[in-house]
Amino acid sequence: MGRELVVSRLKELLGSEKVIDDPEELYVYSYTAYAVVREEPLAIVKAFSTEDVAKVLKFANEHRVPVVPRGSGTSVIGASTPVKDSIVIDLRPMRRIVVDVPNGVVEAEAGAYVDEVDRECRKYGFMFPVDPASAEAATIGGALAMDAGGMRGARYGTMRHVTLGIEVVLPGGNVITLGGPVYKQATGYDLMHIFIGSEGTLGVITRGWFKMVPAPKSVGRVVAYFDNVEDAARGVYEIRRRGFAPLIIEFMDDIVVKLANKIKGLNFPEKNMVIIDIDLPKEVLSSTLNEVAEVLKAAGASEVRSTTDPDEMARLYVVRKQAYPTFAAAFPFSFMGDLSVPLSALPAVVKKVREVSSKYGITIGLIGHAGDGNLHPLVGLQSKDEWWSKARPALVEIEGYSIELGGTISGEHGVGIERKDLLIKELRARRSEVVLEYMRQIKRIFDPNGIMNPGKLID
Amino acid sequence: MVYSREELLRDISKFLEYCKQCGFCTPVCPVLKVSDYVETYGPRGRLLQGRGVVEGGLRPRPELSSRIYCTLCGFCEVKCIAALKLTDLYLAVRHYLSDSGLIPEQVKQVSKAILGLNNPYNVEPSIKAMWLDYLPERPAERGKVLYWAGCTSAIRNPETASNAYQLIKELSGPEVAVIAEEPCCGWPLYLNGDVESYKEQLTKALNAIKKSGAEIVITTCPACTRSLREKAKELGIEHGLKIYHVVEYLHELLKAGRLPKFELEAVITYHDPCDLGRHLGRVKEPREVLNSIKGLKIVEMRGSGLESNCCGGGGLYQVMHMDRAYRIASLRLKDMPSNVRTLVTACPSCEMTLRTEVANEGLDVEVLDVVDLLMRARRPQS
Repeated sequence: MGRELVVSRLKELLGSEKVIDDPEELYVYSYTAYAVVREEPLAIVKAFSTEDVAKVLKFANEHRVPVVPRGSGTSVIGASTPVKDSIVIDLRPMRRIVVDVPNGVVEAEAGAYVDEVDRECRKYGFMFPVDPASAEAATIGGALAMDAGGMRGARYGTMRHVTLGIEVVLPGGNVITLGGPVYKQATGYDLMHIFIGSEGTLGVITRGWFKMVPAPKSVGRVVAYFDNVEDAARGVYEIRRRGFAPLIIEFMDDIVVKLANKIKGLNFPEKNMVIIDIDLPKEVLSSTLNEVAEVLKAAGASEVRSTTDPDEMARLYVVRKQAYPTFAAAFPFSFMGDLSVPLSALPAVVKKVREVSSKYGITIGLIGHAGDGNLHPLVGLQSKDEWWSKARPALVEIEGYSIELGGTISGEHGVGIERKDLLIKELRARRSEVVLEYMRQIKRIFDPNGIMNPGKLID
Repeated sequence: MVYSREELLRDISKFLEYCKQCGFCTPVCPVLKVSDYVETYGPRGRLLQGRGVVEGGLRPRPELSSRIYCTLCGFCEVKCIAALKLTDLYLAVRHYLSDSGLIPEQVKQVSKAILGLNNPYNVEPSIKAMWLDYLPERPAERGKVLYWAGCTSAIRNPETASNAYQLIKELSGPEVAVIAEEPCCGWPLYLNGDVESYKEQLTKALNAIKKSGAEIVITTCPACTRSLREKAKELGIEHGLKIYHVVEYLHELLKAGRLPKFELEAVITYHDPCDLGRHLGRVKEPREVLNSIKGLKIVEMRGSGLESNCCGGGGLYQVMHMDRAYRIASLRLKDMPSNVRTLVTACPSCEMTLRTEVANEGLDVEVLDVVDLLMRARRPQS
């Protein structure tokens, strides 16, 4: 079906104000945070309601037109990158948020920003448990489709761990609800968790119901500096091994700290850092912070600071907050990798990153939500040309190594276009290649015509 | 930053390489919020359209020019992970489009009005001078200190202009001059990408100031401050004048212990103008001046300081998209703390835009400039 016909039919179905196809719009929507590939869609639909999405999916399914759901386009692995001759559905106009305090549930439409949902929860003394680093820009629909995680992952897990129910529009236009605003549901196959993390390949998630958790009342922060990067990784492991349950455990290596000092004008000790937040009642907070500090010293920290003062806490966190922006500002082309390993394997991973960085002669820093074994190698390049020759092979080696350690090639960013080969490698290593076929069969059940975000996650 | 076409082609591509399309700039963009989140109207979309035009992926055309215009509030810059000076890049794209003859018709009229009538509102100079009628006496035409009303204060907020003059006179002595036929500083010409006409108009304004014998210039308009001080310096125009926004001047007096006692029992909120806050970095100064008023309580708006939401009144956006500009103003008014009925700001465009929207919605909110409040605070309360 040609572009003009698709556009005119969509305009008939939805009204012309909801369908956009000017050259500038097609050009702009061809870009996402995945800088490796871009493709112009046929048209973009602004979805204001579940009904709008249903109309598009019914039409697209009948005429076999590919559909790419999109929130803010923040996927760094190409999940929201348009495919050839596709309709992009921009869900950001769908942004209703309802906080149900008595039931401890927050309901949000797909286009609401994660941070916005968190702010609504906090008005009532709660918080949204999942906090991706991109929370200010990432949408609920995108976070669900990608099973996003974040700093509090060690405590609360990823989106799938806090989601109670979702509303999904299927190819063909049927709208189904999986789960709902209840904390328990034992009613057969758990289809909801098939859709969470499906990267838009099965249908369009238009709404979700989520657990809220009480916002912590008293929080303290311990910051430890290590001369040796492997000791820092060991420190994280020791904290967990000894039974502490921090709110966050963040890690960053000295390469990132040095660069942040230079680029952002900071003045932090140029060492490997571990940042730990503990939330406990005031009476036991200080003593617990001291215990945590002692464990980190014993693991090899040369300097440890702890505080409960909010201003000081914020000051100590500045360098972590500036980690990704540092790479973005320092290099014309940068890429953030993603892997997750058992905690005991963290020292081996950080060692491997250093080896690979030196082998390919490129800058690779390391940050991560280390408390759940999730690390992000940050690659900085002076030219995009180095992506295929150096950066990608380096990342494939690092993320591939995480498989050898019993880990996975993605903790929270997903597979998208970027990691399809690595997913196969991981399944092969587990002697579970048949899983790919199961995944294809599942896709055929929900999306028999293969219109949903083709070319992503699986081929 | 002022770009030649060659510099623009070279630099914008260089800068745009650093944009990671991460989208962190998008949620805070006021224009995107009132444009159904259509990406082309947001910061990332603006930048990409600029990139497309400069690199050849997009053909420049009037529709594109229309989308490039935003309020230039600069909130996106605060969020840019690559620390790009995004508003400079948007302006560079406007300049490029202007060179290509693709300046939108609506803003072309603004440029025409400035060049013809010395103000962007297309009113006769005698109307611009009418704010002087609010004064108890005719001000001096020469003096060491000059009050520069600026077009918006003079034409749209005459009472504020009058209050500013009287306040400055009380604080600085009798020799405060006013230029009866004050020319426009030319800032909107710069915003429209007509750099040559801007330079001429700016020079005209500076010559008029010099003719008055002024050494110190105080204005109520932060855009005039940027134009007369910052942009003139950037363009290499040496004028030897001390240019202040009135808040900067009051703050300097406060720090020197020369600001008189003010007293007013009131609860207000303060809206940071983008030009004064994010672009000139004056966030603590207005608050310290206001806090010097005995009995005054400031309750912050949702979004303040460097993270203040825009009022919709800047960047000539209002000229291009009036309805949407007032929708931005409406959103900003919703940021007011409940139970606060007085909104104070320090920019005539913000004052005009917010006051108009208050009237549109029939709200029980008073919009004042800092100088209006100070004049009220210096009078005995009834």
